[in-house]
Amino acid sequence: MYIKVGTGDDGGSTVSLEGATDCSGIHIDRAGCDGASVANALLAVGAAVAIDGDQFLISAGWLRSRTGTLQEDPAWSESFEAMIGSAGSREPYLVAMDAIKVGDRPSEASRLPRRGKALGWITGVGLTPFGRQPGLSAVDWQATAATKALADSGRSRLEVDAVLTGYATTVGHLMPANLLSEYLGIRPQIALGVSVGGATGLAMLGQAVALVTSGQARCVLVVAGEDRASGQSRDHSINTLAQVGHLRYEVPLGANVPGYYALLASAYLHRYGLKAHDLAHIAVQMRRHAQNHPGAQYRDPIDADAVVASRPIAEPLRLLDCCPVSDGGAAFVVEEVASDPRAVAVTGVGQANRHQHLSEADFGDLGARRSAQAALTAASLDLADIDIAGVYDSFTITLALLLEEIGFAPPGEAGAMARSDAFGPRGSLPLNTHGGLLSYGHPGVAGGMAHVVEMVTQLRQEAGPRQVDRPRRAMVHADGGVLSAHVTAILDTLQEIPA
Amino acid sequence: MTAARGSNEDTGDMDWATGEPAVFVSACIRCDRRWYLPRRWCPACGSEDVIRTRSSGVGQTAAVTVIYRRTGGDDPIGIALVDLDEGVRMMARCHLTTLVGTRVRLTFVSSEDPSWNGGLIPYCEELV
Repeated sequence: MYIKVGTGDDGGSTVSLEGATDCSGIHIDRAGCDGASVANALLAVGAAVAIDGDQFLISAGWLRSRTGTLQEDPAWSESFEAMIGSAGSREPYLVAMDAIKVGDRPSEASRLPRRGKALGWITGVGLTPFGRQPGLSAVDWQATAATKALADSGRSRLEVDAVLTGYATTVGHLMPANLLSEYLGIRPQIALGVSVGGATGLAMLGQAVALVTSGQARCVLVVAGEDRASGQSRDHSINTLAQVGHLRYEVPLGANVPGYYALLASAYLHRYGLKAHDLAHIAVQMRRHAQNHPGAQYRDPIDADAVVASRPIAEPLRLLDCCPVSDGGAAFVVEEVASDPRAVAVTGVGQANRHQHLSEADFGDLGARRSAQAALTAASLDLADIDIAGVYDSFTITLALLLEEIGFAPPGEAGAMARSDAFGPRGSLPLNTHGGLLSYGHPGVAGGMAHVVEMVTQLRQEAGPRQVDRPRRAMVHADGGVLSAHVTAILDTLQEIPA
Repeated sequence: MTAARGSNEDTGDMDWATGEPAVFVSACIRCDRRWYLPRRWCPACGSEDVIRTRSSGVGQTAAVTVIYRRTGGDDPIGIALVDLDEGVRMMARCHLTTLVGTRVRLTFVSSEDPSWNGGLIPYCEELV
């Protein structure tokens, strides 16, 4: 495969591809053009490009998708040339000038980071402390978080043209986005209430990105908040959540959400010959992270023995294997363009929905892997490119199953990895550095959004005592129901690499 | 074995969920897919040609838990996922001591929740 880059009659760069689409030997003929022209031309046609000294590397996936068409379709060739002609004006692609990508071929290029393209930008985030905090209604929590996110983004309420709001169990309103918009004095063109269980926050992020990508909105406010701890009795909360089970064939048996996850945990421990103690290290790590976040609900240190000794909720899950029920809110602003250097790009979103009820779940293919892979593919990344992660952790077993199915941990070893500090601030995958649902807290939809806020904070390098060493790419993943709905997003700084 | 053609009912009208001591398994006549949670159309191929068959009630536990914190009562309860020999998975009550991988036969006991109209719930007795 040869890629020839030259200068057209009009002075613009040209790119042509010759030879078989064998990605094992790609050569780029610079034909005297300088590096910027080459990269510019390739980036302008949507390729992820690497510049490493005199070598240029280009994404194999892009080549595969383009070369066949190029040879067969003259019309495509014309548009190809037309795009090259305007390469100089495509500023957003130039942001990715430092991108390195060789598709299936790691080698040299794997040492250098790759880049996807921004589908949308998170320009502001807002997160309240979580905990038992009586006094505010669900809408008050939503408005508090929304106001923080708008202030962070520098946008006024008048600039918001779409509002997405997650359901609140204490309200049960049919139109949560309209309710909040009126309260805030926003009159958005698009108002949408969303309900996908714990995956709702990330599902809203995915829709926000789709709205700005498709040009239907420019500034989307995504919000959730609930007085889940103070606004209802604990029994009411348990009963409401249990309804993700089957109304006639599961719920009447007396099971509830901790019970459904405990069933998953028992099968998991049995399969790998593990004990409850092995999962406990996950809760310990989350608590350790939370100690460095003033907004976390639980900050007292715990150890694995304390987790196993805590009172049984649904065996093998103990109290400290379970997230608390909290009050609080979270929000973010998603825009079409990056309004300031603190903006973080969303470069990929993936989703998978394989079942609703535990009775019909395929324990070997719950959907997490499919969702994560779709997001990574969209972002032109591999799992190894991810520096930090925010993964849903309603129970210790939730996090173990998600980490293992996504591929962050080998089967049966998530707990052992937690024990070896792999998920700590200096570990191989700093994880849920705010403390996650298990220790930061869980007020419903906002709980899964706190992971997004924390990853954005880390990528901006604004996490203070929790700051991980210069992360560039984060994965956030959430599940709803009983590992029923999965959404994954890739967040990327898309910043220049310092020379 | 009792067999019934798929009816226009959303759910089976003769199983434990309506007070009859029986578990039914649905099967698609067109593609042979089997499933437990009742629906009128095959979830694999969409066919309406569905047959419901009474299960033998024998199977093996795939997952078990003892729920301590619940709203329906103060006593802990055992819950299991059972892989029936007919090839579908269902949820049932079980003894507090039942382990994963145990061969069981379903019996039916009264629900302690009078507000639930079925009145019966499936319960795993261990086979020795």
